[in-house]
Amino acid sequence: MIVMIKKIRKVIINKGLLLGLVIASFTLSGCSFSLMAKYPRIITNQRIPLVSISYEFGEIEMVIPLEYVGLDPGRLTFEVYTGDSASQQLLVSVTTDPPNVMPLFLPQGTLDFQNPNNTLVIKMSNEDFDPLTLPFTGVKFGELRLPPILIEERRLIFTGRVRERSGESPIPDLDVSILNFGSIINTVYTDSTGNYKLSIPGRYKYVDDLSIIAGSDYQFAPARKRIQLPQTEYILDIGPSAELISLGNMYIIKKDQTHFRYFPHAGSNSSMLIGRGEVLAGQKVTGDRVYGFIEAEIGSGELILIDGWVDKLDLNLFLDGTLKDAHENRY
Amino acid sequence: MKIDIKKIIPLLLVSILIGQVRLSLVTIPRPANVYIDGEQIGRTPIDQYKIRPGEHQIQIIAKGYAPILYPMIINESKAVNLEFFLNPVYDIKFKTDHKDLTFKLNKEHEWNKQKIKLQIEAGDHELQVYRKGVLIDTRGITVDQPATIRYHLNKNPDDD
Repeated sequence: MIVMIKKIRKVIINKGLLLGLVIASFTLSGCSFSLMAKYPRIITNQRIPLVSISYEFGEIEMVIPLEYVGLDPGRLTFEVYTGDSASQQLLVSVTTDPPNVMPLFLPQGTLDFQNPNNTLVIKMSNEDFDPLTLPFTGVKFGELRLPPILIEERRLIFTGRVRERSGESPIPDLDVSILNFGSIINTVYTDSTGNYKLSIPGRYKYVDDLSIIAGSDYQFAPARKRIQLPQTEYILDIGPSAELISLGNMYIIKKDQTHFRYFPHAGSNSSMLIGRGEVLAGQKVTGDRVYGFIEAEIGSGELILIDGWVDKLDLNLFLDGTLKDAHENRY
Repeated sequence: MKIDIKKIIPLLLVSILIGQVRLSLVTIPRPANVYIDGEQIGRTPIDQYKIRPGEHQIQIIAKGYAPILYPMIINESKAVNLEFFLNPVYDIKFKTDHKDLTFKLNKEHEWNKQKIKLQIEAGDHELQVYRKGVLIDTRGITVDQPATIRYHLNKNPDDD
């Protein structure tokens, strides 16, 4: 037994020595590398790196909302230009039936995105429409939504002057309106020289009964003329003529539908009803009635004088540029 | 003329945002640290990074791979996609029995030890050998795996 133990111990010792030798040789060889100096930097060969580059170029989607008023514009042609007037270049042209929203697609980078040097032109096939030219600033890419564009036929433009009939002096700041069957289409005011410029949608050239009226709230009855196209310039005279003024004191009718009677007595027939602001050139007064002349324009534009009686209660006396109640004053 | 700053700032922000390009950057292999103009922007894959068009320095650093410094002009566009292929760096043990030599790799990296550990990018390199400041040998080295390079001077320059 003791011999066996000694043999085992000898083997263990021998193997230990062997193991020691193996570890020592491994350590020595390994340490010879691990103890090596190390160069501090990565050594590259400065080659150009292998790289794949791909670009994505977007597109510009122009979104053009459209609103239509009035006449049918027919087919629409959309043209987009870029560049200033000297170097304008057509980018796209599309003709289509009238859309509510028109999309247009352009390649990236085609529009000037710093200045409004791009132009959208919309042409309508209906000749009553003028082409629209809209400058805009572009984008590099992505959506470009324009504000809604109104498609409306060419407007009718009326010009002229409003003046006092008696001395032809201009009347400034007076309202001038175009009416169609009594409904106002547009109203402007005269400038300091009595001139006006007024526009209405072009579709009204196809309607009947267009009239122009000036001084709806003036001290004298408004001046009114029937519009007869293609005439677009109208001189509107307002107030009494010099001839009427010369006939007597000026009374102004207070209210609409005032009776203009043949005779002064109660129950006398009325030749017509006259409106507020009409001028009566008074020549005599009997009781509560005033006799005098009014002016009426006949078809040719000529003025005629008509005589008759008006109740004093319906009159104001126009004296020295001011109105006085005729009923309270004995003139 | 009065300038309303409150109105200008949103306009400037819009113009800045409009002027940017969407950058996507991947590396093979990944991940790698990415720096643009010296500022770390993240690790690959990079997606949806906004960058202004123009000149930029792109730097890519990944352990075990050669660093990349790539100057690039980003063009006006919606997006740019970059894919970098990284070149590995191998551990090379360099040994020589000659005691009086100085070695220079790629005309830049110099040592004079007989044993040295190097980290060398895969590919071709040029080794120059100097003795007392005189170039005595030039050799091409191709690195494509971890290896031990043993240098032996083939002939005695004194024989020339």
